[in-house]
Amino acid sequence: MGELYDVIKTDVFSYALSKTGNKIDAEDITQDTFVQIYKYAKQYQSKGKPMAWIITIELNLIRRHYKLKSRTVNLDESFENMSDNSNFERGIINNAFLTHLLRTLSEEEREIIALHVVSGFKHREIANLLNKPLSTVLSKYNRAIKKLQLIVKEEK
Amino acid sequence: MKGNLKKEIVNAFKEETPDLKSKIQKECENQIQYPAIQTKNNKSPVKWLKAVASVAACSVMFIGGLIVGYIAPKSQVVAQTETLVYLDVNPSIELSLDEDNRILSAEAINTDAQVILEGLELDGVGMITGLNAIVGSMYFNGYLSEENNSMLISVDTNDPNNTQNMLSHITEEVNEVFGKKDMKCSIIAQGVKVNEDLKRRAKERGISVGKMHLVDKMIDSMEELNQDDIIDLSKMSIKELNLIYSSKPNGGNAPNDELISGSVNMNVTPEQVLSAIKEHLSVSEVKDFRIAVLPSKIVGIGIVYSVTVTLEDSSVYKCEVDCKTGEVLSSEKLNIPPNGGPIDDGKHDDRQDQGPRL
Repeated sequence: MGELYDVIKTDVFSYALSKTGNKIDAEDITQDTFVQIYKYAKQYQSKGKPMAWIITIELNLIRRHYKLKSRTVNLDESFENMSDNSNFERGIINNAFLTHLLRTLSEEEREIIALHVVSGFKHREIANLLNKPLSTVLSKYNRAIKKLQLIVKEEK
Repeated sequence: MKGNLKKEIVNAFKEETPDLKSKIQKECENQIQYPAIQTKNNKSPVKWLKAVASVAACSVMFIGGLIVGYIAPKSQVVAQTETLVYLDVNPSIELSLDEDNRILSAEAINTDAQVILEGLELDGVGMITGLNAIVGSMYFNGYLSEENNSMLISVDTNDPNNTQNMLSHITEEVNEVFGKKDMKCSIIAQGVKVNEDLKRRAKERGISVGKMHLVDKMIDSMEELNQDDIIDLSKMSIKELNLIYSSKPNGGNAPNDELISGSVNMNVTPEQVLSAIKEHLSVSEVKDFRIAVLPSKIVGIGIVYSVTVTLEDSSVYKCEVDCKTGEVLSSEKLNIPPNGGPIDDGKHDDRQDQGPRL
């Protein structure tokens, strides 16, 4: 498991971060994803696309995470979270460019960027994975890249 | 520019990736693993494949050790599987039951089902309790809802006389769980004899044996379908299959090992269909309105409602309405002899009709 973690930790974390836009949630989802991979590794049916299998597991966890969150979070809990220093520190994103990226791009754009740029999925594979037309994936990707180019330009 | 940007993106994510290795390893030590689904291994040397394979290999060793060291000595008194129950929504789950209907094992047949079974300790639990937990988890995880209320239940039991009893027992229980959520469930419950051929064909199509058996039955019993439709039917959701199969006329002679209850919540309700047709035919009232599902149209354009409408002036129209959008796809006026004899449903051009312009 340690070996697998070293190889794909950035892929799994960046996808979770792109979907949630929140570092604490992304960490929790990353951890849960690896535990699920370990738990169901024997059920993996090799189709030569293990990363697609892993992302599917992660996506299910993200959906469940949202669902649980929408049911359980109330104002008191939110306040508790804010006053919890350890969580607060865990949640800070140090990289300024990444902070801009998360703020500027939509969830879908971030998702496509993470899958293509970080994990190396082809656009067609992303379209299949997310059940979206290839043209949508391409246009969102190009739009996201343009936005990011602008950020880089402004930073300089 | 683009290359540098990509590098910057990757580095940004890398920089922020936390080190969770020890936490994960600790968590994994407390986890149970689920049995493997037998598959052929494709050759595709990707970095992830190697890594996943190594985890799988470790799992095999781990499970192997477990069997030798712990389970094997106890297995001299292992209970026999008396009944297999397959639950299909999209998550597909296989339950093995002993003669007292206690769950010996619950197996996820697809990834969605892994989510459903996660955290459920079902071994040794009574079937009713287990069903409650599973259906509750399907609802909680969004796989069952007001819109998606279809379930396929397939039972393979060693005692064929018990099949009908099991089917009604399980159906009743699932309906009760749905009732608690103020929802109505549409269920196809069927007896199935699982053999190697059925398993192989189901595996080839990546579906459960229950769904494969239903598809086979549909092809055998519905003259509109033939072997060429297997691929399309296999890809359909349980809701779509249910919609088609429950519209099948059986003359009140349902097989003994089959139980159909409830009705599918359609995307487009019959009221919406009627309203679309009225607008299409430019009429405000109709005398009679009959709706059926046309399975022959499943290839290509999806499921279609076949609707026969009798207008106030006794003219009869046959229309086809898209089940998903409610759009009227076609309509034709049927020739009815003045004495009210049999309808001539030979196709002809709408434009030649005397009825409302379409």
